[in-house]
Order: sequence, then structure tokens, then C-alpha cells
Amino acid sequence: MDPDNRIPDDVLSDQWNSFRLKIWRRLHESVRDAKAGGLTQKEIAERIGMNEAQLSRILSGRSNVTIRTMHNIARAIGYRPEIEFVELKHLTAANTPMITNFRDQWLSGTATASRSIAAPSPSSQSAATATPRGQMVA
Amino acid sequence: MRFKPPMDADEAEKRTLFVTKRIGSFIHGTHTKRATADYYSRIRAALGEFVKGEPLYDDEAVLKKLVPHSHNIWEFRITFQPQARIVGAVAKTDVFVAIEPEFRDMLEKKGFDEIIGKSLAWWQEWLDPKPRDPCHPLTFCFCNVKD
Repeated sequence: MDPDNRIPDDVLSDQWNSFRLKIWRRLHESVRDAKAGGLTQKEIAERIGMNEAQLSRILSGRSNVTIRTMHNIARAIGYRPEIEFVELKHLTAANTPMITNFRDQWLSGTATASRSIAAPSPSSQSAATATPRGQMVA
Repeated sequence: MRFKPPMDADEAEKRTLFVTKRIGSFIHGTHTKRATADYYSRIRAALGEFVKGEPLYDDEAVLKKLVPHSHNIWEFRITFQPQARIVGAVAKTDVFVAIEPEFRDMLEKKGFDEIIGKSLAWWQEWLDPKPRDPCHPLTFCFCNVKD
């Protein structure tokens, strides 16, 4: 195995946590919709045999939650969670804001929120070449 | 410093997040324990989702303006245990400056006065005379905010 091809553990970890957070946020939004439709938190908890306080902690992010529990909550509000595997090389480049030396522009009052279409580059098309974790740009 | 999360080709830096060196050290520390490393990875993921433009709700789940509101200091709430709070200010629409980190349980013990004071002092030293954006509610501070 070529060690150069290995995705760093911390990048994988950040991507996994980002994925998990996304699922939790989607669940949060779905529960919000379900509540707007008249379902109460007590009813949701009862449907999956969960303590209402525990459900409240999960939905407010005060408690860690497994994928399985999120699945169960989704079922309790009448949703079926689905998963999709997206091939990175087929992604279309997103609109990228033009942010160059933003702090100086902002301080001088010349900052704008202009955006342009980023040209796809080979380096942005593979997970192995993804930006390192939480890169800091001076 | 500007915080940029790992991004796939179809993701972009939709919002700008500046962090102080202290926050940079807080979230990028080297941790030998796997659980600790994973915890800081979760913080980076939360900040990353913000940068990538994850829709926000004006319900104080992610961003809450601290009292007194006149200071225009906000807390960024990191979900999952142990919960962390990152205190900062909105520089302008879609631009957040994260200044001080703290764990939620510590804030419960100490109160917010100290961290608000530190944040204001930092802002005064580094960014004044630019005012902190007094925007409120959240819809005036960030795009993709739902009520």
C-alpha cells in the first residue's frame, strides 16, 4: 500500500464528524417539521420507548447520539432515513466566494461579498487531496 | 487566521470564520487520547459546517447572542458532550470572528462576564475602531437563516 495515498486520520475524523452532524441536523429539522404538524416530543419519545428528557437532550445536542437512535427517532416521526454514496470525482465545483485578504478589506471598508464560479481543478476532485483538517489561512 | 474545513469539490466557503490563535490552539491541539482527539474533531466539524453554509435556524441552537445584548457578543454552541462554547462577534454579514473558547460546564460555574470581557478586550485591541455588527435577529447576520 502506498502511504502517500492514505487519507490522514484527522481528515477522515473531521469528515466523519461532519457527516454525523449533518445527519443530526437533518433529523433536527425533520423533528421540527413533525412538531409543527402537531406531534409532541412526548409522543415521539413514547413511540420508541425513550425517556422524554433523554430525547430532549439528544435533540438539543446535549447528549451524544448513535446512528441507530437517530434512525429510531426518524421512524417515530414518520420518516425513513436514506443514505447515498456520492462519487467524489463526479462532483460539480461549487460557487466559491472571492475572499482575498478579507480582514484588510473589511477594516478598510472595501470588503465585498462578490462570488465567482470556481473552475474545477484536478486537485479538488479526490478525497485523498482534500484540504487538510481545518486549515488555517493567515 | 481564517478557518477552512476540509471541503469536497461541491462545497465552498460560504461563510467566513476568523479564529484567534487561542482558538486555533484549542481546536488543533495534539491529543494522544483517541476520545479527546475525536472531540476536537467534532468541534472542527461544527465550525466547518458553519463555514460551508449549513442552514442556520434563528432558535439559538447554534448561535446565541449573550446578555447584555448591547455588547454584540455571541456564543457559538458546539453540540454533543462535552459541550463547548466559542464566544465571538459578527463582523459583518456571514463573517464571524471567534475569539474565546470555553466548556459549557465551566461557563455555568464562572458565568459569562469574564469571557465577554476578554472578547471585548480582544476586539478593542485588534479590530477597533470597527464596530461589532449589532445585527439581530440572526437573519440579519447570516444568509440561509430560517425562522
